[in-house]
Amino acid sequence: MKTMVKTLTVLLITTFVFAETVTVQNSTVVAVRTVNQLSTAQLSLGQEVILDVAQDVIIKGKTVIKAGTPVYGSVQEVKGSQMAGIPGKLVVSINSTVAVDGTNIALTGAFSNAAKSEVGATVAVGVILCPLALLNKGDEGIIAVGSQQRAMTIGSFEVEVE
Amino acid sequence: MEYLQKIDIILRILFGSFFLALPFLAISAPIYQSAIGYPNGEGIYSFLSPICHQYPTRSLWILNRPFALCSRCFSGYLGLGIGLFAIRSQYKYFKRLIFGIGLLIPGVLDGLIQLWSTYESTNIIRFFTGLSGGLGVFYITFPISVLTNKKKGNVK
Repeated sequence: MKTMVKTLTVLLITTFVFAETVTVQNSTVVAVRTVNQLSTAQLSLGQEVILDVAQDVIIKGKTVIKAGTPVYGSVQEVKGSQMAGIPGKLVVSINSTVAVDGTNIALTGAFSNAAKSEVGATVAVGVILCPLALLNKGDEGIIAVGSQQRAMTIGSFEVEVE
Repeated sequence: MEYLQKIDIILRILFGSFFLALPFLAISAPIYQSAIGYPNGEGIYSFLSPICHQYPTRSLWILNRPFALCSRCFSGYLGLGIGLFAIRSQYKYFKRLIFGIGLLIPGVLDGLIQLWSTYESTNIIRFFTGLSGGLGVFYITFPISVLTNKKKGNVK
């Protein structure tokens, strides 16, 4: 019994001595990166997208969010490419991630991509040379794998670090 | 040829100011945002976004925020601006071309080795290869060579 109490006391003291609370201030920058290629051809409105943290978020010398931690995003706007060279457009909003102690950190930011419009050229070729050219579809909106974006924290968070 | 000297000065002031303004803006975005608070400064990030990918891990940081240009672009424009204001080349164009290409090589190699291998460059290397590349671009693109004849003080 005595040993158990001693062990518990040591554990408690260790926890209090080595655990430290760090405040993640409002609008702290978090570098977010895509882990897959995101395309208007594959995604639908509201769909969840998994991204990750590109580099450690360090505050007062302590890592509060580790690189590689999943970041949760969602498709905010998706417009597939259409005939007559109309391009696709994709907007993925960055919603949240998790700190080292498991605290949910709300984020704001977005990845967006609109492909180049081919409407002018397609219509010109369609009218002057061949109407079949109007069947030409524009490019899909694509966000390449490894793309990075700044995201900001929304609000302040207390994070326990070792 | 005095008129060539005048054109030289005008071109240098015009383009030099423009290219030095870009790194100045890149630094001012995080400082401004840090001082006044988000979303202030986002306009500067958006303004510079068409000319740079602005990846946070490949940018220099100040006040816990990344510059609005990546380290290579930042130092590239800085090098070009410094070249325009500070370097008065007295060589003929062919020599400047060779010298410029030589200065561009480190940046090109750094990028290509990253692309073809698992090598990951650092922001310090990106900064210096970018600076050298910016000076290289100056040597290659600036059209006027200042050949001063010591006796006559002419510009050719």
